[in-house]
Amino acid sequence: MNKNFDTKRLGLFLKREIVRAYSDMGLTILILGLAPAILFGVIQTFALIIAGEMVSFTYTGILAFTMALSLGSIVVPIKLYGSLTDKRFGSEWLMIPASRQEKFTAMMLITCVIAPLSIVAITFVTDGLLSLFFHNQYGQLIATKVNFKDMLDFMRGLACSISGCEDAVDMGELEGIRLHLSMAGTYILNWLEYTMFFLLGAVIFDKSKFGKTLLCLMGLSMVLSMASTAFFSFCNLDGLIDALYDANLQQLINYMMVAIYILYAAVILVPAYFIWRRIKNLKH
Amino acid sequence: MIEINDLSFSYGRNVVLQGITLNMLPGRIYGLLGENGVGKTTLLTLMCGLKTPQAGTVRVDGADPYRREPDTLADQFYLADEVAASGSKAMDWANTNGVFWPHYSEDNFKALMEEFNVQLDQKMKTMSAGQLKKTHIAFALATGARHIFMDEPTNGLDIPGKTQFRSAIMRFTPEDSTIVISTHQVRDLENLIDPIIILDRQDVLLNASIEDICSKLYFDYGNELHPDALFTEQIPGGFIQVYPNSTGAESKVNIEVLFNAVAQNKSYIKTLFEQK
Repeated sequence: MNKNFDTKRLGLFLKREIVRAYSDMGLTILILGLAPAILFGVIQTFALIIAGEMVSFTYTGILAFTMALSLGSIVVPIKLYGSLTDKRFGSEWLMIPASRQEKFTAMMLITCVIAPLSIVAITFVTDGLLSLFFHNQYGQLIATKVNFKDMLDFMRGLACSISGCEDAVDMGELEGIRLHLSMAGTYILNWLEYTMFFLLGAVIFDKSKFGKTLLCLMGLSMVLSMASTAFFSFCNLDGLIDALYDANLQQLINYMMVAIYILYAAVILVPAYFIWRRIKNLKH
Repeated sequence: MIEINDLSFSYGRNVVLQGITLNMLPGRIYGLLGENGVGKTTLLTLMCGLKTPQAGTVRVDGADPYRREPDTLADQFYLADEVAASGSKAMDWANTNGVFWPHYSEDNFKALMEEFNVQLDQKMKTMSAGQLKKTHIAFALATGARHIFMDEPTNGLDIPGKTQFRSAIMRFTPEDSTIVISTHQVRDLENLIDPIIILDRQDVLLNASIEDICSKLYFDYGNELHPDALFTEQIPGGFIQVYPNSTGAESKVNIEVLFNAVAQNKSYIKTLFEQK
């Protein structure tokens, strides 16, 4: 048996963590997964009360799904691993005869793969049933809407309806441009990003884990915006604008996407490193 | 064997343990006693690897427990003063966790739970504090671990529970195991713990077997005061006194009285027990 990483032991530890997750937050995951149905139910109930008939709101599913995933990426890590800093739970967890590597891997698999997949699976089943039985009101399956173009069209429509203008944003320029980051990819990266941050907050802060993590995120955003402002104020803006005029739009977007990928990788890997360090050095 | 060598630990500026050197042998049930704040729990957590020493070393069968390697963890169990309540049923919880301890016995867990009168199919979140403690004690003993560290195990147990605990320790621990029990409830564990370690602030006042204690101290349950008594407690119908055993007569150790005698005569007791 490998001293530090044994797949059989990892499997046993993962099973233990799944049982614990099911017991501790199975209901939460179920509610998050049922979010489209819940939102659809709320909207249609109000519509029946106010208008006396069901209304067509075909973005219920995608809206609820997006909200559920955003909420899940915060709630799951805090609820599942926030108690690691608690003496009772934390000492029991640390004393289970599995290596630090196995515990870290199981933690990552639970929070980054199993929990979101569970939510997605429940959502897709619900989505399928709603789409089947209330097609006119609920619309198509979420999966058919998970693409950037449709989402941008929806946002444009929303902006137009709010501002009252004919066409708030001209999307014509984006036609034919291959967007490297798909909508599904964005969901995955967003889940990983928020999960990692809130998992780090959960294992570092003893109390007020959500609030303190949020404060740190806001602080970090402020520092980054100040740094970028300072960068642009010092760099040669005229030269930059000329370069932007000369550049091919598609190439520019591709460069931007590469920069975003690097940023996402850093945002995911840096907290992961500190989570690992915390597990390694956690004391009770 | 547990070897503690020149161990020091502090919380910020508050030095709790300093220069502690101890050896704990297999096949014994050590009673770790001391006033509040002397570092009993800290010492236990250092021995099981939940903390790392700031100076000195702790070795459990030659391994550094703080590395928390699976092999080391599989040979030990730490029972905290306060235990977590899982959302699972007791039996499911025990079996899900038990697989990590190679000597875990489901039969022993069932037998222990029966002895403690706790239902196997009861959800742990619905248990009382005492039932939860009993479940964790049953699991600790069922793991078959050779090093068991217990912090105030009898806290929260009812009167039958304390008797059941003593019986369970005697029946369900391997002969070569080292059990370290930190407690204030010395009366609960009388006739069980041997040797006795009494910690003082940054020092070990006593680390001796009951036999050794009996050979050096005499526990007098009479009604006449002895002039050399190190500690005297009035009880109905007389006194309990402790004084140096100059005649070699046998007596029954009263751990509470011993603790008070040690606390009031620190340097004398240290010198007395350092003499071979």
